[in-house]
Amino acid sequence: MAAPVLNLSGVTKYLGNFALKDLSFSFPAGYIIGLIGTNGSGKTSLLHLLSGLYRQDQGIVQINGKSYPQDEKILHDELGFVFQEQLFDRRQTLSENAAFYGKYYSSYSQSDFHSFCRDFELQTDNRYRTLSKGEELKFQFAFALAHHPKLLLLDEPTANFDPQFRSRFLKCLKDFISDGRHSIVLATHLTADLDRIADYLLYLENGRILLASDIESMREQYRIVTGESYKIRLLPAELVIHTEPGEFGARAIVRHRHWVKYDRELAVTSPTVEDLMYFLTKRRHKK
Amino acid sequence: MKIVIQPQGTLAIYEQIVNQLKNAIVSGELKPNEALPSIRALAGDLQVSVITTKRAYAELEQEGLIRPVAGKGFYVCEYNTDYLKEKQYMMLEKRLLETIEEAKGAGISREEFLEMANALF
Amino acid sequence: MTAKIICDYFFTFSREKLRIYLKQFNNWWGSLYLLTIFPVLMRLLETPETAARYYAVVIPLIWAVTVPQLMPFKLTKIQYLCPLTERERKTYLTGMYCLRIAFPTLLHAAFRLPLIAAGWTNLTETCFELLFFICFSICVNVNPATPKMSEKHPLRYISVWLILSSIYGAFCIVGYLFVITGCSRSTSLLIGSLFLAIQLPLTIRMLFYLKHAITLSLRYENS
Repeated sequence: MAAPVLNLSGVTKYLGNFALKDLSFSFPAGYIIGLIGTNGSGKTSLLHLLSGLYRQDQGIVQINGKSYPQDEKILHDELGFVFQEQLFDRRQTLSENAAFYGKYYSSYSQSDFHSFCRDFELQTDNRYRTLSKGEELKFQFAFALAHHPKLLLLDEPTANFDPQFRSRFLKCLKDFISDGRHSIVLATHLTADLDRIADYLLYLENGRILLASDIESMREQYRIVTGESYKIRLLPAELVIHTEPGEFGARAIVRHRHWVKYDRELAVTSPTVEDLMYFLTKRRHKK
Repeated sequence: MKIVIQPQGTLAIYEQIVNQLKNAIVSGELKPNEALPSIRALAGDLQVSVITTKRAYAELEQEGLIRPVAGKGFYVCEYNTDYLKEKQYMMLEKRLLETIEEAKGAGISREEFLEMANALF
Repeated sequence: MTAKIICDYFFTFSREKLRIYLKQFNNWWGSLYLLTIFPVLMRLLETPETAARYYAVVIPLIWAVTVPQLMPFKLTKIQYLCPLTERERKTYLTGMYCLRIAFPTLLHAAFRLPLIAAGWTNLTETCFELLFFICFSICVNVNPATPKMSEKHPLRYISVWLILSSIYGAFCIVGYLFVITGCSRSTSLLIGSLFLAIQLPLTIRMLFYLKHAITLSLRYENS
């Protein structure tokens, strides 16, 4: 396996009455890591931790084998961000902003920035403060790509994009990781995007990890079974994680085993990311 | 070679890739010893996850249809067409059986079923 | 870096920020009071000398108060995300603080020059006033522009007093005491130096706090 792009072990961070607790995971370089979880589950806090804005109280955070604070400058040089906030100077135009902050990066290219902006239909001589939310995220994305980072941290970028741009955006992400050395952490609510392009999933709930695995073994581990309620009840109880009874039948998420033969009248499918989130969250709430 | 992915299809994405590559091999569109697109190139092209594509290739490798060459990627094996045909027959048989069961359940007679098959084929 | 600091300092007055600032009535009325009502009440506008003395202090003073209010002092988020070393961040922050203190002081000094030329005041008085002014512009930065001072900090309760006393010192003792009350110049200088003797050590203590605040601001979480 390639060297891990992210390597966290036992990371704990207290933030007021919320805490990221005991996060341990490791993902290889060259993939898209989907970061999912309900609102307030700690996605943004984790991204802040990875970007060095927060420092962990316990544990080790390593990115490409380097860690804060000693390698801060190198790490920031290798990281690109798209955050939900207005990061740049509101008085200046897009190209002034990009040129100004681009100077800090070792491999920033203004001409790349302009070509990305043309691609994303951004007017580079507009002032930053005139941008709409979607345009602002586009701009941040263009700027991030223009300084050629090794790891992109994206916080909910797709929600504000129009459908047309969204597919172009996803294409950009695929292109970005295509050489196997660049990686992406993508936090999002739009799980349909992740179903398609994510390689790994990191599922946070209340500051803890509920699931961290590659997407195929997630699909392999679980099955969504739909059918008549009594047939669902006959499934091996130790494998059923959660059942949702309905008027015309029930839906259940089960742990998949190769030896389990499902009743022919039950519809058995691999879960989508959304199914997984839905059921696993339900189960937590029941507990 | 053309591969079409239906994200909302009943088959998992990796199965869709496996099936379509298999068809390309059986139909001779992919010749023995021909190089397959690299995992990342294919994943980028189809806009699907790299891991999914990897899994599809692993599946094909397990079935002996393709082989990895260190540092170069995957190549189509020298396969036995009869063996492949046999396998496809077997799969078809299994699916047909399911369909027949369903037809029986719906009270369709043998003649009616054959007629339907004839008309559709 | 220097260009960025200077640019950031002088372009603080974006329209929307100013609007928000003006919405806080107390500041607005405070400035209005100092600029128009107070001098009329104190009959400071009767001679050109007192008027000039007065405005030479009050205009830079309002500037010095307004800037920290408009721009809560910290690095912007992007500056925490850029590949900068802690040292570079520190240079920026320190430069910014120096400018906040130096610029109003220089402005004040510039306003004093015509007064000296007109023979209304002398160099000693000006130096005194400048010292008070520096004290003022240091203290005025402390709470609005730095991370909130902790409850236990010994200077917490006297910071307001320090600000008020330096205003008082600056534009009453040295400038007006003899003009308004008619006491001799040397008496007013004596009272002024007594004030300074208390003011200066406390202000120096305040400077150390600012230094500490800069170190704190180097980390995003603290700002």
